[in-house]
Amino acid sequence: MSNVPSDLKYAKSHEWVRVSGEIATVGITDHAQHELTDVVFVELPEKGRVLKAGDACAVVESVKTASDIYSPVSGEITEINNAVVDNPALVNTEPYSGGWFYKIKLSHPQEVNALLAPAQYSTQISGAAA
Amino acid sequence: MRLSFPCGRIGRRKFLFEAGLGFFVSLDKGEFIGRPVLAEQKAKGVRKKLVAFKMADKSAPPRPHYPIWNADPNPQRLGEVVSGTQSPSLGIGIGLGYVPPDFSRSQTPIEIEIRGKRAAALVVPKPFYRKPD
Repeated sequence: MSNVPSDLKYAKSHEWVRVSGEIATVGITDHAQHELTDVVFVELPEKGRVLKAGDACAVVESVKTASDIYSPVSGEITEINNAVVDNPALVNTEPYSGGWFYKIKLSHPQEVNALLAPAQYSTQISGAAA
Repeated sequence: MRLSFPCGRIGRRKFLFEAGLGFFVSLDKGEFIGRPVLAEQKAKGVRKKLVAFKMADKSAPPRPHYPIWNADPNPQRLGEVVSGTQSPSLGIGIGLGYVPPDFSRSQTPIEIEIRGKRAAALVVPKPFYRKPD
């Protein structure tokens, strides 16, 4: 059973968002990393890039496949996690802590409300697994 | 790890010499489908060869059908990857691909196009990896 922390919001495309003030941290979920299997490469957006919700902004490559990551929210990238570029396995071992992808300054904070709550995301992935 | 030979290509007999499997071809056993092409290749040489390559730096893993380019300011498409992955033992991307014979020598620098960007690689001898004694 995948870990779905209760303090986060989720996108249907398996990204998580942790909001702190006007900054949101984005990563991919435990379920996503499990489906991808061993992550061997992560390509992150440039700091300062302005994203719209739904934009493909990063790439995760596992031994199995290459997968685009879509920004769940709009805003400007303020920080990227170079540790995950140097050690992509962090996505597998710490998807919700050391394996975060980027921080973004929210331009439309209300978008967060439209994301899935933990219970909704849990339902989605249990349906997908069935 | 031992990468298998690219089945799609050698499944078609006319590519046997290009895949370095000429040892298994007997041209004097009488007529068979593909013999004229193979005889011509043996006489004149092949237009492309299967080579092993290793990424020069950390990169996304090479995958089948990624284009192979020469490492030169004048870009020339050499061929494509037929098999590739991230090697757990070497910690870097490895693969097999077809290139013209001029580029098949070990240590020839080549480039693999990975989602629109070219990443440096080197032609290497097989096997990619030997278990230390």
